[in-house]
Amino acid sequence: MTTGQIELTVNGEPHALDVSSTDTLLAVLRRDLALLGAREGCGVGMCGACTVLVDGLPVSGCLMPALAAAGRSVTTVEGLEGPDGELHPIQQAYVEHTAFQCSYCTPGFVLSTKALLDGNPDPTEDEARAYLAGNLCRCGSYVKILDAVMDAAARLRASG
Amino acid sequence: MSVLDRPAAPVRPGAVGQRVPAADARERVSGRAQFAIDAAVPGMLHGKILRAPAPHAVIKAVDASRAERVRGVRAVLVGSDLEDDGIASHYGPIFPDRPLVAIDRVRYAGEPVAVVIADDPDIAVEARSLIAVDYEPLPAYFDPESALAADAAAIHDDLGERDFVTYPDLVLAPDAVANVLNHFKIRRGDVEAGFARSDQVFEGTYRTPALQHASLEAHVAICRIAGDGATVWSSASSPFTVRFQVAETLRIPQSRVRVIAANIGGAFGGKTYPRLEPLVAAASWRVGGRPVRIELERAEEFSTISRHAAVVRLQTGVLRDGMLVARKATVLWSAGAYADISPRLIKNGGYASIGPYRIDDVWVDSYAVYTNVTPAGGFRGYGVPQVAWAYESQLDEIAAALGLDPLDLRRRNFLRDGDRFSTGQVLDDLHYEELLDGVAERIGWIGDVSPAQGGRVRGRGIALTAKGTVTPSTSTATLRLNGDGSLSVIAGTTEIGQGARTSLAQLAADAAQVSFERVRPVHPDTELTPWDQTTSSSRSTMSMGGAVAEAAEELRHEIAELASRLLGVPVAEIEAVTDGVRVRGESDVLSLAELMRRSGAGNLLASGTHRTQGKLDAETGQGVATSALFQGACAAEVEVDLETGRVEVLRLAAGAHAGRVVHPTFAELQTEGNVAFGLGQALFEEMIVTDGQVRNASLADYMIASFDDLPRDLAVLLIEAADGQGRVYGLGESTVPAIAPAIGNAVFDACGVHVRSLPITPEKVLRELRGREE
Repeated sequence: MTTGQIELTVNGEPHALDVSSTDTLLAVLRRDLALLGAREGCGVGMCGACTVLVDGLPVSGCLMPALAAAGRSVTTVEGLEGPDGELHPIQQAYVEHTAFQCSYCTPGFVLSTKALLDGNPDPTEDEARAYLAGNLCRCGSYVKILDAVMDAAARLRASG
Repeated sequence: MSVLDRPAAPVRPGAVGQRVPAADARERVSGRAQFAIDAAVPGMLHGKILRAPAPHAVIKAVDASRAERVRGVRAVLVGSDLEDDGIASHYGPIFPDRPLVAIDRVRYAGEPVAVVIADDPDIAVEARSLIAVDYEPLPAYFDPESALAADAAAIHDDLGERDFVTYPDLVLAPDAVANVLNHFKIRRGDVEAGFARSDQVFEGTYRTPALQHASLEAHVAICRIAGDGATVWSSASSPFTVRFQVAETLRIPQSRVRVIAANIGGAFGGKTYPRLEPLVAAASWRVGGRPVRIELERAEEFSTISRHAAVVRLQTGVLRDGMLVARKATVLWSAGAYADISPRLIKNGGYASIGPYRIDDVWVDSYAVYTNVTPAGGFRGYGVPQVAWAYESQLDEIAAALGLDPLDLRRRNFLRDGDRFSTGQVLDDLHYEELLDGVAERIGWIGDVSPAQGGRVRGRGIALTAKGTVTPSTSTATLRLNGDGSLSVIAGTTEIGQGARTSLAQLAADAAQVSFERVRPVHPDTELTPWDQTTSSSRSTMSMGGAVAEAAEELRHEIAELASRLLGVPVAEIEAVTDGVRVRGESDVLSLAELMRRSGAGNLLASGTHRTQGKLDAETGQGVATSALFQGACAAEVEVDLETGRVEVLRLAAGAHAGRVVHPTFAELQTEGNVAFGLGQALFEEMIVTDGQVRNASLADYMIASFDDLPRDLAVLLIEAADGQGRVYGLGESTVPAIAPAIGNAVFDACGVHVRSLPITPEKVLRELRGREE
């Protein structure tokens, strides 16, 4: 097990962290930065509960070695809120549609939604379903999640 | 994508029935909602579990000395440590048949054999690999049929002492047969005479596999023993069952165990009874009470708890016109290596095997059978999905054989108000007519099935189901009107995603006449929240809601008394309004905040208790089984690809009798969650066990429903009383049993093959299709 120092940006803030070669990005976010929104579900990149954005693209935090995040920009769910703590329109849509049950998976869904809408501001329902098929919600809140995603897309388009 | 359908939703004042914002919604979407995985205690050590590789073996020797010498390892808990008088070596909610770690024998592959306790989890993992265990294999039984064979050896030599007191609903009759740990019977009418009277007797055997709850949050717990007590932070969904068990394990009074709950990341029955906490308590005890944390990895979940695999044999006697006359059900439940809650579950699954139908002559034998696989416990539906798969599949085989319409056959037989259930209990508030018509209509049952493109066929199926709830049961709650006029709901119900914090706040708000925004539910803490039996069995909104309503009545009385004293008018002259009181006939309102401030009362307290009663006879299974019957229905349209055997669900309608919907969005969410569970069970969910080894212990190999699996056309139907005053029914499990049989019946309708063993995989469909051709 080797260790090394990495520099990375998390939610806009620079960090220099000592990590080991076995540390995942998820472990470092939770242990060293106390960012608890990304959560382990399956440990093998199948459920999406640990989704974070790395340079804007969704990544399973449980699979990415922390060393591989050196020099990158990481966004977690904690980084979505505005400067005054106002919710991101995607988060607001999830609240208004109650697009969750236990909400363990919700931060991952919210970030995957952001990645979807950043790349495709006007997705069809089928496109949204296909994009989000990599995030699992065991409670089965998919109907409301899709409602929230389509609503968030409309709001973001309207606000330009 | 969805048709959200609540017919004639009555308009009511107040919070109940409204889509009020979910409690903690902001925290939930911003990643700040706290779960047990987030808990940390200063000085905390970490445990990792060494698990048995063999499904059934004698332990000849355990050598942990090398592991103990690893730097950073504090101790290794092994079976020989459990000889100490300071700890109870075995645990289990009903039979204490399970050692904390294996002592001289392992009974399933994956059973804990040792726990390494170290400064960090990586050290514990490294040290774990240095423990040497010498096993001598024993014959093993992986399914109930082989465990019941005449020459099968006993997996347990001694069942231990049984707890009749804690589980008053138990019907305990373990047979003098090796590996039967409980046998539940129904003897009603004369089943042989019923068969003799029938025009035809249908026989079939229907199978369902072991399943994973697959809560995305795994089991996690921390235990610290300090002073004269222990504190547990846990993902358990029923903190009072944990308190009981940890007190037993540590041999201390229950009042000295404090269990603190946070939000729970899914439970589905997998976190109702303690499975990790006794082990964590023992680990803390092993290191002198220092806090120890264990978080299971996903693969370990597959070795912790599962749904019962079941084999259901049904013989059903029918008249030519489709009237059901008699049924004999023999149900074998694979309990796994330890009893857990099986003795109760096989009762509920047993009495449910008649379904929501009027059958006078009934004979049920339901057996919980020890097997050398992961222990089985409660799982959303609690035994009903296994038997519903059988009886609803068979009903469509009967309909086809007699040339009857599946809807007409059900109409002829389903329970109506005043009919008797399988246990003899007289039922009312039955709504199968509306459910049947409602779900059928929503998938467009009338008319021909829409044609499919080349090589594919379409069909429709329907299913009706009935599930009970744990009876007797008790919930208690405290309401506290605070000095600022806000109201705290102090209740032991955990938030597992069902929306309990929201719905209990709604019920409290309306009953106490406090506006919803001012009501705050607390998370359970057994030191502070009054007792609740369990967050399970779809009971919380009914049962805890009942306790909250009773407490609110007392609180309103307390408020009136206080206002009467303060204002110097008789109590009868005090009139309650939302968030305040006034003297009858006057317009000035004294707000509750002002009442509290001026009276100097500090806070007002009121408590409530909700109790239900029931009991079944041990010999006949007759009596009161349940205080509420959850009525469910599903209709589905599927397309079967005759080349590949693949089944796609095109349209699906799920219906439940709700009585009165407390929170429409959560009611829909719970029902849609039932659908997601049922779809997985119908088409792909299965723990694949070969020679006692779970072959797909990962969410890469064990599939759960994703966006890809949900039908594009999904409707939810919730039946409510037209006057808005209906009784509140639980919805957490009402529809899940109906989903898989509706899909199976649709496959049968589409291509004429009935796969009697879940899941309906393409391979099985193809095999059946080819078998029919030959």
